[in-house]
Amino acid sequence: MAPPIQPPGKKRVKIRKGGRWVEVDVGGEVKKGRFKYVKFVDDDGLDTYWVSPE
Amino acid sequence: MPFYEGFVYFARGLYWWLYETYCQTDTTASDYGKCYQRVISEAIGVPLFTYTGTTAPSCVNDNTCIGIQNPPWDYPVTLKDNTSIGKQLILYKTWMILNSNGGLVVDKTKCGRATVKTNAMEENLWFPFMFKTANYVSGSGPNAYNPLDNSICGLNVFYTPPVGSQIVAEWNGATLAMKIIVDINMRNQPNIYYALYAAAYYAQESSPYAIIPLDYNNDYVPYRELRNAFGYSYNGVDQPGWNAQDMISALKDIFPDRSWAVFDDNNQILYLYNLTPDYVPDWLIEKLSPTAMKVLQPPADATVAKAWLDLLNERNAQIPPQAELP
Repeated sequence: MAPPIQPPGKKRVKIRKGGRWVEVDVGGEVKKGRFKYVKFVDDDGLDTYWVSPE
Repeated sequence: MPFYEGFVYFARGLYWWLYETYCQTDTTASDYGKCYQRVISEAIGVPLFTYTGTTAPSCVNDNTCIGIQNPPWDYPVTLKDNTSIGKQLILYKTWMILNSNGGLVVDKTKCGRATVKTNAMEENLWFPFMFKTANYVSGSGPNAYNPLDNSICGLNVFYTPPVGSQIVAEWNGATLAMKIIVDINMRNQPNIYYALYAAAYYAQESSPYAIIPLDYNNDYVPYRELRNAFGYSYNGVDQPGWNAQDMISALKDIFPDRSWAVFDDNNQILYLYNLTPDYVPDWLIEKLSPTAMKVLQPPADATVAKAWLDLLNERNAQIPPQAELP
């Protein structure tokens, strides 16, 4: 099977979530204090900002 | 609810059992009786060591004992900044010597007294830790020479003539407490010599927080309702509850049109209601260090979110900084 084509401009990152690495589509980044968060829509449908692994 | 424990202590003055302190005990040395504080701070007050002689330390003779000028009324020591109401155990002990040429701190029969209080007790408890011994050293514990009246203070809560080893410090406990305050109670009197040691062990279960500043006068009814649903603190930052999802449900019901946040301490997620991360101040992120922020509902009205942020910043600015010992 051919790999899924990533939409232009979409960035995918792996985050540590629920004890495992999950790859998500990043819709933006936010910096707060010492932390940088990546934005994506989580499984629960909520806009979620997860701490960036970078 | 993660459970953790810790141990903290602080000390000021000179203490013979702390490695940072070095006292010259060689009677042939020119600086016999002098003590030096290597790391913690400058030497304060009289040298404390296992005193076995009757001669005053040299700092008394050459008038180099250091007195404290402009001491504050008390030194509050907050262990955990109100983050776990109802789920915390604190064991603590204090040890101190103090004196005043104003005669207000000691009453001529005791070497020093400390006030220790917790939010659970809300009262001052006086612990006369150091009783004056006549002319001998009590037990095998730490003792202090008091240059003001040429006496020896033995750390002995219940003064009895020493027979063998004695317990020289008591551990006191406070359950359901948020913090302890070690109140040295110097009464703003100058020329007080003191040394202080306080140690505390705490065990604590962390809590989820609701983050919504309310005003008791303007929001009396919701304030009370929130207070009954889970803990409410004056600063609006650390209102602990038991279950983050229950708190979210309650807050949606009580405050559907306001902005608020809930921090899930279990998953380290900060839930935002009528908020986006843009309105979350950096200091709150630094304080909570959330792994993630989730937007339950973006703000329909930016002024509501802005009001939450402004009030939160205002309350946070009112949280007194922890006092520092000189």
